[in-house]
Amino acid sequence: MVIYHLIYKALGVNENLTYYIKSASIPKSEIKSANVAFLAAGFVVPGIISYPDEWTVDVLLDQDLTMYRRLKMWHEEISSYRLDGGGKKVIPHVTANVNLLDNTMQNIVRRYVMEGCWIQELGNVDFKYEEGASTVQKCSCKFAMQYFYEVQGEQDPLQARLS
Amino acid sequence: MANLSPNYVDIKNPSMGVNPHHLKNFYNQITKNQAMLYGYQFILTFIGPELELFFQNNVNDMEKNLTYHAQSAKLPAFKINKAKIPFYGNDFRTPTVVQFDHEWDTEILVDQNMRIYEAARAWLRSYSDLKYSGGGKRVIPNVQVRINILDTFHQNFTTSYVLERCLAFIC
Repeated sequence: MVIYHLIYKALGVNENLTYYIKSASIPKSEIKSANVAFLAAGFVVPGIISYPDEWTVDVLLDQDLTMYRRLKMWHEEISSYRLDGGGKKVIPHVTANVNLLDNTMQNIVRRYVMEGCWIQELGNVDFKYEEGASTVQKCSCKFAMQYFYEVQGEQDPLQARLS
Repeated sequence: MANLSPNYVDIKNPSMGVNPHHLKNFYNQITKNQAMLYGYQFILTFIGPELELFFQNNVNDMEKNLTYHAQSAKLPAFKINKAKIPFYGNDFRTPTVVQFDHEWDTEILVDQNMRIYEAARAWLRSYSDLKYSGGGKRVIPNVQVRINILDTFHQNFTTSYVLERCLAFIC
């Protein structure tokens, strides 16, 4: 069974988000190909790796909208109508970790680290009057990210490769 | 290149191999301390002189009151566009400017006399009517829609989201 949890740091939101986020995905990795023609034949050679630039999770909503408000604060810090669209236009030092657990759910066997995350979109929240409704409200939250890598054990492959 | 990974130190955290999050923590963190939000915990409020003109928004007359006839609402999404900055063979993504959805819809109950429906149609026609060969009011009206989120007792608003300068909806 695969279980994950997320940690990121922004505006004091860190461990809390672990409990509020209900879904996540490990992004795909893709190597772009280049075509090389020779005589009448075409060869396909590998190019440069490309990462998806978006990553989406679902966030649980409580009645005070605690997490929703914090995420919105982060959103407004980057770009707000009050500042005519201005705000912090930098790639923040925020990482999201997707941790995979073993079947005892005690040990993290693998970690996927997404670097340079910032909140890109806070999705719709749909309300409707329904009798006996029992579904807790969720909203999707899309992050932009720069790249990701896998960590196994305590080794950071990026650092290991550089050393 | 190492600077691209500013949180590298965290990865070296010795506690990495152990799961610090358990059911007890979840119980204490969310289910014990926070009441969750359900889809019916909302009330819509429509405010504006144009609405009073067309709907005669009067709490004593429920048939005319939009609050009671509106059955659904949507808190709009907040988006920030992004720009790509290429470096070698890679693209880095930086934030640009905020963008809002400029449309918002709700479902309205229709009474047998279709008074709400006709009022909405009249509002719509005030902006563009075939009688005037498509002419009408070409202003952004001073109409607000408030999505009020209720607590679990349905007595207090925990948060209100205000949609400013709403134009007539499409019937």
